[in-house]
Amino acid sequence: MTGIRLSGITKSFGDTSVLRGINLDIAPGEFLTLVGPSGCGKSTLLRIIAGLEEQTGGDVEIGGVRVNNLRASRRDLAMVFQSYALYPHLTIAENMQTPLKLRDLTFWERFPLIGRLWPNYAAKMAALNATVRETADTLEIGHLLGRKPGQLSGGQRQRAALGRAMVRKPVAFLMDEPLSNLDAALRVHMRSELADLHRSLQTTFIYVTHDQAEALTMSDRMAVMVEGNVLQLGTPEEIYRTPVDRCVAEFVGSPKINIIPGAADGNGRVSAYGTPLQQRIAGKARRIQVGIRPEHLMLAPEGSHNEGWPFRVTHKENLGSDFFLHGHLNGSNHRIIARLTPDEVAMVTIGSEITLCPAPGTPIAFDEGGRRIGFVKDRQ
Amino acid sequence: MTARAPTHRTHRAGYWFVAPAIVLMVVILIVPILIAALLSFTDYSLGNPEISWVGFENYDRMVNRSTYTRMITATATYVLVVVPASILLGLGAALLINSVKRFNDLYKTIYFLPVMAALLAMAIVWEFSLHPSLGIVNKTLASGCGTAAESVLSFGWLPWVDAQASWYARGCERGFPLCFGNKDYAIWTICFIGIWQAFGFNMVLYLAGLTSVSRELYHAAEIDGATSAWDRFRLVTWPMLGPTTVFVVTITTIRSFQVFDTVEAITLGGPSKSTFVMMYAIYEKAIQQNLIGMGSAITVVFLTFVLLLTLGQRYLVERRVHYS
Repeated sequence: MTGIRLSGITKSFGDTSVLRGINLDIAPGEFLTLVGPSGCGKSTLLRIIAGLEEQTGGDVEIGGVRVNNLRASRRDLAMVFQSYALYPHLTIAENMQTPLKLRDLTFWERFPLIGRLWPNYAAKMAALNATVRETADTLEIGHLLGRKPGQLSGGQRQRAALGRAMVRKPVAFLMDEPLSNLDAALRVHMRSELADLHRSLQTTFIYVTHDQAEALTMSDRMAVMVEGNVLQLGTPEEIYRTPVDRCVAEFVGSPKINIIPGAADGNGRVSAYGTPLQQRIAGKARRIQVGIRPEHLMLAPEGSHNEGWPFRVTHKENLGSDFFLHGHLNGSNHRIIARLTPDEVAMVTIGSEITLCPAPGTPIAFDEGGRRIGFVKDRQ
Repeated sequence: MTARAPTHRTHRAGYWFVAPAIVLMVVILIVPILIAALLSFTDYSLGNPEISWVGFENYDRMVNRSTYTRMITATATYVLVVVPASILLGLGAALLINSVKRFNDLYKTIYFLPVMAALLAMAIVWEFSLHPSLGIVNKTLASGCGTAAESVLSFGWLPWVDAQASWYARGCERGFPLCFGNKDYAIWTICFIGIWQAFGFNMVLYLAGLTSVSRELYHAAEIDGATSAWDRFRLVTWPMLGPTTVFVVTITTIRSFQVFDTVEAITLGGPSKSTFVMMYAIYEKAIQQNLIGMGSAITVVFLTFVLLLTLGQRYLVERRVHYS
């Protein structure tokens, strides 16, 4: 198992700076996800690790060795591309053989027609085919080995691309949005398969996605990137519960976190839109922003009007297991989404007014610059 | 009106819509070909009221008369030299131009110039350049005689070459060959002009093909361990250029079978029929000598070659080079 360390990686195309000093220490065997909106530089970073792109500054180390001047083919990494990039003229078996052939066969043994005349060719090919067969069986694509990529479905191509990456037993897998060309149901299925694969291979995975759900479900740690910077690096739990700033909070979680204007009084007691939240921050009185995730909103108990926000329902979205209530806080245009159970919303009709309150301890406070402010534990 | 199966009426309307195209095709393509095929079995000539059926005599001549054997030899030589050479050069130039970042538009323009120029005019320019006494080529070659250039070009510096017996040394001694006047050289010189003219066109086709090769495939090849340019070419470039190659081979072959301008402008099929290519033979027999029957027979053979090529291309395109 090999770790990867990035220190001070910068990349600019002309005057445009795409990466602004990335430092990441990826532990051996870790599943690290680079997640961020499109254009944040995550794919560029992955390609710099792969060696397909050269960084403007900074170092890439793989297993403690600086590889800045090592070309992609010598870094012993495998990559899965968004388009799968299978060779369309070769069968799946030949696609999966390619990395092994390029590593194990000599130039003359790879040569068309005369390659098979070399004495070791048959033995080498037999060994190589055994590996391909074994990998294909783990991925359950053994029956597809004779087909061309064009004859396969998206999910099958996805597996073939994974197979081609796996046969060589690389030190790390780099994946560039590998699931984004699949339909929604298959994507959810492949998420768990990839996580299983990572568990069984025990190899370092670096996974790039713009889909925060993929990042949350699969990674050991995730790095949220925005505009060429890593805003936060941490476990999915940390990122979700304690985002460093409003930007991360808004990016992670679906639907987006609700932001409500609030204030802290002289004692640091926080209120949001006039409703006290029973939480305190350090420091003096100031204006703040309060973030509450949709699933942390609930219907206020009857007759506790100053404990919640009056909320006018404009739209009710049925997800089967849950309902999303869209609407705004009464008398304002702050749009709010609440996630409630079917039982809770049974009586709620569109246009009606209800009272919502946060689950205790769930709101997150941000200062006016967007940075998160920690709450102070009350000594009670 | 609701949609329903086409009635007899709408069926007939369909035929009326395609009728003009069919009529035109029959009148200006199919009928002339059929007439040529029929005439190839006769001894017809223009203005001659008598016409008699000669059966396979015209075709028989093509196999047995030395003139026509030379016609086949000259045409085959031209096609077999110009097609591979201009395709390989075109591909090479396209790959090189594709790999440079600067000046590639300049290179493209330079290599494409011969394609844009009228071949007839260019043939005359080449005729002058290669003229035995006035031409710049032989003059330049001769001016090197007796100088350091001779010792280099006679390859005497290679241990296994006898400098006196080399091509250049003999040229200095007895004069350089007449490119178009010598039956051993004429067809090769015509081939050279053909390559010079055709490869720019092939280069442009290959450049267009190269732009459609996905960058991710090159990246995948690189990650898979394809370190050398040769490995990447074999794994990605060449297979992805398959459809382009089939097209380029077909179009170049058909164009090579059609070579006429250079022969008509420079050699007139000579010397001793060494450049008597098929198109020129049709022209000479049917137009100049008014042997329409014989000309038709050559035309039919020519059309057969082209038809076989086209069928071959269709087969390749459908079976081999389209991957999805």
